[in-house]
Amino acid sequence: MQRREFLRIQAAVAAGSIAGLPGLGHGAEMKMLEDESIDWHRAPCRFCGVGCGMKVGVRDGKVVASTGDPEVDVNRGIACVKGYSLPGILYGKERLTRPLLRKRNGVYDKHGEFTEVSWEEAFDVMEKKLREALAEDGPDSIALFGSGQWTVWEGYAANKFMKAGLRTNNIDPNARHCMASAVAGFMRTFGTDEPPGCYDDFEHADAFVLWGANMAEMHPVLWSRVMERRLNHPGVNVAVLSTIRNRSYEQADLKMLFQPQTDLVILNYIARYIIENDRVDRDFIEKHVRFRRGNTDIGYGLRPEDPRQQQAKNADNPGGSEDMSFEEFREFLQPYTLDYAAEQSGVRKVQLEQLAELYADPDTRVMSLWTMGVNQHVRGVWVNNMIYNLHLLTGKVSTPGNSPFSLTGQPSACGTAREVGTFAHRLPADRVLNNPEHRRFTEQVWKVPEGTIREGNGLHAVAQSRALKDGKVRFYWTQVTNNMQAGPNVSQEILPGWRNPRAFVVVSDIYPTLSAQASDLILPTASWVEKAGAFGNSERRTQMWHQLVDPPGESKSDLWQTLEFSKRFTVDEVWPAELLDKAPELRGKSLFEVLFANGKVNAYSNEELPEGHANHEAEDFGFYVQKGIYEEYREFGLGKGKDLAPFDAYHERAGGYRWPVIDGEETRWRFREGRDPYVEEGSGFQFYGHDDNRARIFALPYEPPAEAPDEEYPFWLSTGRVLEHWHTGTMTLQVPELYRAVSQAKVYMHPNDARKLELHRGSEVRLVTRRGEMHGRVETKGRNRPPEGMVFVPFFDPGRIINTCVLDATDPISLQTDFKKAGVRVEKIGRARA
Amino acid sequence: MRHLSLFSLLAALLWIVTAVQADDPARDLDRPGPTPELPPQQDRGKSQLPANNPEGPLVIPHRTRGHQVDLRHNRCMDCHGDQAPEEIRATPLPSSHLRDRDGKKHEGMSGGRQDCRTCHVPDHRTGQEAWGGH
Repeated sequence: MQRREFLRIQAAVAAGSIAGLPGLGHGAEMKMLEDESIDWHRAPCRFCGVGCGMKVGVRDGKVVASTGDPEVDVNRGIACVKGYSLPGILYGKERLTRPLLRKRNGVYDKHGEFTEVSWEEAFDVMEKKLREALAEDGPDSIALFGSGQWTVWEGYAANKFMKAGLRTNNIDPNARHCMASAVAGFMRTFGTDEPPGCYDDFEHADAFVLWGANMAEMHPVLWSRVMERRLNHPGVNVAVLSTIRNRSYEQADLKMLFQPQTDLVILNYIARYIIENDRVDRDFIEKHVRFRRGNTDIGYGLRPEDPRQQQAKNADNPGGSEDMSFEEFREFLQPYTLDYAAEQSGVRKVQLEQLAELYADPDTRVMSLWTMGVNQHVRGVWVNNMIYNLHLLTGKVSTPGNSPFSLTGQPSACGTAREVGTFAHRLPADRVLNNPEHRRFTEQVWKVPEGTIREGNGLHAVAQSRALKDGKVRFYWTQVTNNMQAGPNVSQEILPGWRNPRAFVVVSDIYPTLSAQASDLILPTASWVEKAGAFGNSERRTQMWHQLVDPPGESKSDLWQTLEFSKRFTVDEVWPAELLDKAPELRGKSLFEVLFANGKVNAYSNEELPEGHANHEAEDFGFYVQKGIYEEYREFGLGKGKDLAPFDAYHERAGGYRWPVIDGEETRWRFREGRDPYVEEGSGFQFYGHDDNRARIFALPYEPPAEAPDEEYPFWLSTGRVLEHWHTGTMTLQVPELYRAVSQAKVYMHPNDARKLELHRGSEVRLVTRRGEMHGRVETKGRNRPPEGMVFVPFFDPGRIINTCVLDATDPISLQTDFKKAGVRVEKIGRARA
Repeated sequence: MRHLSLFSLLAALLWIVTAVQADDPARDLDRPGPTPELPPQQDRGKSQLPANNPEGPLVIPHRTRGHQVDLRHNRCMDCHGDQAPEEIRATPLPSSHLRDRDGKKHEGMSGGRQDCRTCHVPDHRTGQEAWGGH
């Protein structure tokens, strides 16, 4: 029907005029793609780990339009509402433009009011505070908390500044809250991080199984690929396992609601089903798999004095494991019968069998997908391992459509946090601090003397908060992250540390987040296309962009901040004399000179800068700093299965490349002969992350969560996100249409529970846990519908900090917090108190 | 007298301690405040574009609560689909929504567009344009 094929503008105007509504007011601007006053450029989206390619429209030095890039395979021209809201995120009324220091009577005072200062003064105070901490308590009294939203070079620079410059390993990204369990899962099973498959699997799978991922809201563009496959190909199945009814659950074929923590039981049941029904791919496991029995009773990552920690037998070696045979593995699974799984999980038997059959049937190509439901879990690494178990038992891995696929939450959780190795235990390209060869290799690439990088893991996210509270960390810098809202147990374990009189806290951000407000110094920061950048998405894809607009006021990128600040210290001041004796030529040099003007990072002149794009960092430092850092960083991945293409290649191709990139060709399926150049001819598969080329299947049991509902706190509390707001809402709450779409975090609960507590939709309630409280309004009919006995609250709302209620228990292997399981009490707030 | 001075000393100490805490402007950052009423959904309002983006998807200018969107039924299509009665006169589906990833045109809406709420978000009368701080 022709009438139905109007362009959007015609349709919208027609609808408005026919219904007698006011016009849109955008009519003249509607066809901007053809509007010559707009310059269109390419950049990946600023938000989630999907990594959509965007076309970004610039007019008069401002981003005014955005749409999906049709040439980027991730999203082929579409985006979610956040991607379409990108023009609004840089221009909120509260945008920070000058450094703000707490001052009283003209000088820094922890209890002073935020006062505008120059960068010079801001850095003077930072320098003084850092020197004090260093002199009195050593380098480990300094810590930095970074981000999966750092560009690749920002994370790399910060990592180098901390681990080689200041010689402390106290640097960790907020991806610790998000991806750490996935990383440890990959390392244990495959010996190398990041997925075997890629997004192309969406168009090849016959079944999709979601294990704790609400993709319809959190990975909407990938969900559209799931739905397109499902609706255009009869027989394709979508199975959703969830602890609450949400949008993904509603749109599934097989909907399964399970009791928190019983995913462990369901996974072992499916493994048992595969074995007992003789559906194991025998040839595959004989050639490519090794069985391991994992340590059990591993604790909960709580403070050592916590009884739950003290009672745990293997709290000191949670990641340990030993060899076992296939028969022993079979024996281990015997208790996980269908009856037991149904009873424990609450999922109907017939559904569990249908689910198991998706994995067991050799003709069904299965894509398993997961994110925070699995990773934010006190046994998150185990769940990752156990999902791989199912794919390995059946040989459903590394071939199109057969894909265990871990989704990421941040735009460069993979690219920066993981690949660059900004975790407190890692170095670039899967290297770790506790391996002397890895440290030595890194020192060589960085051109610093042997012994510069210290052995031993630094403080991870939760440990940083605890160390601040305990007065052990005295200088703390956070970049592109908002831990005061996103971190666990805010009232007991985060705010007291930041406000500890011993601590000096610096927050680099673009808006006055809760973290900024809790800090002592705020540095105004350039964001997204206000600087040149590179992100790495969930499918090993690296994308780059040029600076497109200027940052406002005096804002500077994190890269500039780290590099400029590094000029204030000489190696003589921060390194011991013995170390400097090994490299006397470095004497008297600043950390900037040693780390960033080392003959490699400054090897590319500004002559190479692209025409028509500003580059403030290159202009200020006098060399093409992004290219230099990137090319030095690239050395780490070559020959390691993490090969990246040369810098310029990424600017020449829409959507960049998926690593390993060998001879200009990207790799879509790792570990598979014919697909991955690292796999030798005749081997079929090679899981080369492990020396024996075998992937691991782990025998791991059910163990209880750190906290469950009881008489005093009778409800489960689970937390999460919404489609319209990204993480703590810092950017998206500035966009009026997104703010009005979802303006506050609601307390989602079952209508029967509400009735019992004499509550109704809209009642104001107090949520109370052993740690803190939050006030919010009840929603019984919204997009999330928890079962009886559970409440769900999103964490995007700075006015309602649900993370005050969350327990800082972590997976003991990944040290990632479980944000999904706590005991909570719901109390009605009377009118008088409201 | 001795008691008195001890008492005043204690009082003074206590005052200093509380003063330090009370003095900290960020002390109460985590304290919950009153919660605004749940704002009603805009009905027959003006349809906006997110962040004024001319390429953006229209915000939904009407109520949607309780609308079913799943594999069995998509309530949005009752009015916006090509089988919708003429007299409803809802904004029709643009032709872009008929094409799949490969550019192939389908009879109805492409499967990838199934969840309208991915792009088209509700609008509430909050009395406020954007997050206004604390």
